[in-house]
Amino acid sequence: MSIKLLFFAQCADWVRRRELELPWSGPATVAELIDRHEILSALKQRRDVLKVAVNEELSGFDKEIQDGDECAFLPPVSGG
Amino acid sequence: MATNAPSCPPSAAAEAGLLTEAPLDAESLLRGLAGLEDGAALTFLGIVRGRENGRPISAIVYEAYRGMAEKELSKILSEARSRWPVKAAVRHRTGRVAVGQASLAVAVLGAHRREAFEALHYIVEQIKARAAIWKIRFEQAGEPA
Repeated sequence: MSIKLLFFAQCADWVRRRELELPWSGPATVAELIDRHEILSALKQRRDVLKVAVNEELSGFDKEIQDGDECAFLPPVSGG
Repeated sequence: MATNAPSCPPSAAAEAGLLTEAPLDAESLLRGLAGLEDGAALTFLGIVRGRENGRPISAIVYEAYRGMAEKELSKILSEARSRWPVKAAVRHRTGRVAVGQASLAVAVLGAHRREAFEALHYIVEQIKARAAIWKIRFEQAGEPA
């Protein structure tokens, strides 16, 4: 049982990786996930500039993550 | 100007592969949309400029959250089609895009120019505001690709 985290653009620089698989140890919100894992600590102070997508749908930091979910951290977009 | 015009559903070919690493071809986007009732055909190319923050660059590298970006691009096209009586297509590049090349191509066809211009403007602005695509690196002139 695990969850997959994806980090894009500056997020990947902050956490020094593009993706991470974590064991799923029961329901937790995105905010709780960030608090529990030291490897995500760089995201704590940057929540105001980040968006979160769970299973490719924009969500909030209070979104509960389930087993098998994919959670992506998205900085401000700059396409076009 | 919003209308209650029926949306013009796209062909499957026009919607496929909204993200690509290949060079963009606006003319082929138009050819995929053209019909006998269209009096206005517009294309937009977003071109990589040669300077960023005053410094010369040779390329921009783009990254996308592919599934989410493609869904959003498709949604933006649907919104434009429901607001204006137009057909529309888009392609955005990912990976390395050299200065002078297009990172974004949008094609819009409509019976008249007013709705075509309005829809095109809407599509480009929404893509830049919403699509999960990022410029992740600016290659300096002289830097190896």
